[in-house]
Amino acid sequence: MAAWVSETDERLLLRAASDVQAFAAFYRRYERPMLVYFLRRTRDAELAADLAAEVFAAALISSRRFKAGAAPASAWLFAIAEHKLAHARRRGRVEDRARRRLQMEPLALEDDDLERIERLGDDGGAIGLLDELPAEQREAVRARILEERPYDQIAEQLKCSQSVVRKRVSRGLARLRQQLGDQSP
Amino acid sequence: MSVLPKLERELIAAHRRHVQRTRFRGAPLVSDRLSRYWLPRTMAAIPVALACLVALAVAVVALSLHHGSTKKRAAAASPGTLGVAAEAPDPQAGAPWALQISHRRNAVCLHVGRLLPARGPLGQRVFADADQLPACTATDARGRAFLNVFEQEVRASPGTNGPIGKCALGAWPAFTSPCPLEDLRNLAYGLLGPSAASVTYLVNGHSVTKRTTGPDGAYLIVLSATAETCHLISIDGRRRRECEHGAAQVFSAALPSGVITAVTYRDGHVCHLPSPTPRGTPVGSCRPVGYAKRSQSIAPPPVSTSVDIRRLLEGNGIGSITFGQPRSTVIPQLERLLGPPHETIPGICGFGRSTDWIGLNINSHTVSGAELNLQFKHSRFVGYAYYANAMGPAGQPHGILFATSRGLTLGDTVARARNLYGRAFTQTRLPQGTPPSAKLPRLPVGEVSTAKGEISAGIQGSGRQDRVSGQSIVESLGAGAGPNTPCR
Repeated sequence: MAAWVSETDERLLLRAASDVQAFAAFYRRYERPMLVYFLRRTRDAELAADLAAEVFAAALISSRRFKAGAAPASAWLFAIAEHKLAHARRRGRVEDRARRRLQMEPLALEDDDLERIERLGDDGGAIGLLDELPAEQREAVRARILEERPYDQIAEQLKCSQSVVRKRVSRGLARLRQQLGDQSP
Repeated sequence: MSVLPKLERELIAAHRRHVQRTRFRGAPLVSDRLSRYWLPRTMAAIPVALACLVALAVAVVALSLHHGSTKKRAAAASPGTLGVAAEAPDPQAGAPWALQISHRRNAVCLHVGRLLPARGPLGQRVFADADQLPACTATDARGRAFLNVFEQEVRASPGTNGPIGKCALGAWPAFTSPCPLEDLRNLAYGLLGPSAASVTYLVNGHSVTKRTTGPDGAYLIVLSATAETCHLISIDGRRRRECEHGAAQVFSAALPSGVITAVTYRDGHVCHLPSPTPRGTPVGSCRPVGYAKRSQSIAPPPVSTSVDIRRLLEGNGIGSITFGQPRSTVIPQLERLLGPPHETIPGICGFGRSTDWIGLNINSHTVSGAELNLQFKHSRFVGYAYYANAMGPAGQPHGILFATSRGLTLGDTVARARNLYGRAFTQTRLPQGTPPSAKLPRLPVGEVSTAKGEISAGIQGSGRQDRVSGQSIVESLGAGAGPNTPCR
């Protein structure tokens, strides 16, 4: 497992289909962001866990189709998450197609598990604060930090120079740090 | 340390099973094996060269077939595209749309997706699932499927708006901006059976006729969403039109009016349907020609062999199984009656899991079959719903029929409910959706007050306004909480 810790997301995902350790490392890297992502949108720990389980199962099944360079691995994974969330909202329940295909047992969540997930909601405040940033800083921070996209690509998308993007990211992060500092007891 | 180690363990176990299965199937794990055994790069070229030769051979065979049978090629759904039953161009000149059919035991599922510009390793076109769940239906007695689906305001490019997405997905606070109209499509697709030859529909007021394809009579129509087709919704007391992703879905064996205006059959007869108007489409339908009823239900009852009426449905549970009991005691008690549940599905809106028994044959004169859903929250029984479903007509008199203590059950009329309960049975209309949506029509519901709590009876209304009369049918009975209970 340790060998995979320093690997990039893309390399982990490319190897995930055939290497269980790479997949486990990828899961560990994105488990919390994924749970926070769903927790913020559903405000329900049990539901967040079910959705996250379905997303990672779907990611495992389709990891062979992931192509490095087309989109960051994080964007690829969160696109699956968005898709699953949309389905869940439309159908009124969480899809379990991927888990059934993998013959996974339903997740039996205990109170401890739910509490750990609920605590993530408190820890995930930074993502919540992201929405409070000015639009241009939010876009830049999201693209650089969450999606891990290169500066030149972000600059092209936002139609400004790389130095402007760097400034926006820097100011956005500084503001987040300040806001997090304000919130801490 | 992960937050959910049990999920990690389960995923790792699933990974091992998945890898073993794909290896057993002979999936392309060449690169994996090469890296494992450190074969030199020159050796790696051999399987690649073999694959190229195979591809070349397939291409030559395919070309010769096409040259030799021009008529057959025209009739085929899509030469060179794996498993595509029907195709349709994108109205905004994007990648073409395609319909795939997958066959399961006693059922057929339809998948809609796009044909990508990229080609597969053998030059075949690549099908990518759209942002839709497959639509499935049970096959008839001859193993044929009849299904018509209309999905309104489907996103043309799912997942391309970044990890969070910029499009509104309904009235959810996290998504604020609505999808632009040019990114939305209305899809009509389905299987009309082997007798259907072509469908006619309107595009910008002009009539277009398209041949059905394949032995199932497959068709796929993709239209741009228009402001007129979007729904009128009420926001803060002001009514305005808004397009919402996946706003309307219609699934039925008979073809309803809406998009298609006529179906022409191979024997020459034509079924006409009312055309859409600015004020909506008058109701009409074409029956599924050639549909052969099954002599018995899809899922025979697992335990009982004769009709067994259990007056168990109460306002606080099912017989002695009352709300608040743990899941570990509730399921075994019902398993003794119904056999093992067919599925356990994660819930939404604060609910844990829904455990479902589906395709229960209840031998009702008016209801084809039934489905029992149990709702759990934090592993405690909190609600149930007993539904009439449409898995095919009931056959022999066997199965378990649940009823209320006074004998009200699925398929009974509203008049009978009134007779049984008198003033304790009241009629109302409830909003649909979670959270309740102003866009969806309110559903007629009967409420039965009992000493043990309230039982809700879903009523099958008639016409577009869901009118209720004494002869209207009770199509569901439930009590307690469920995912449709407003949770925000």
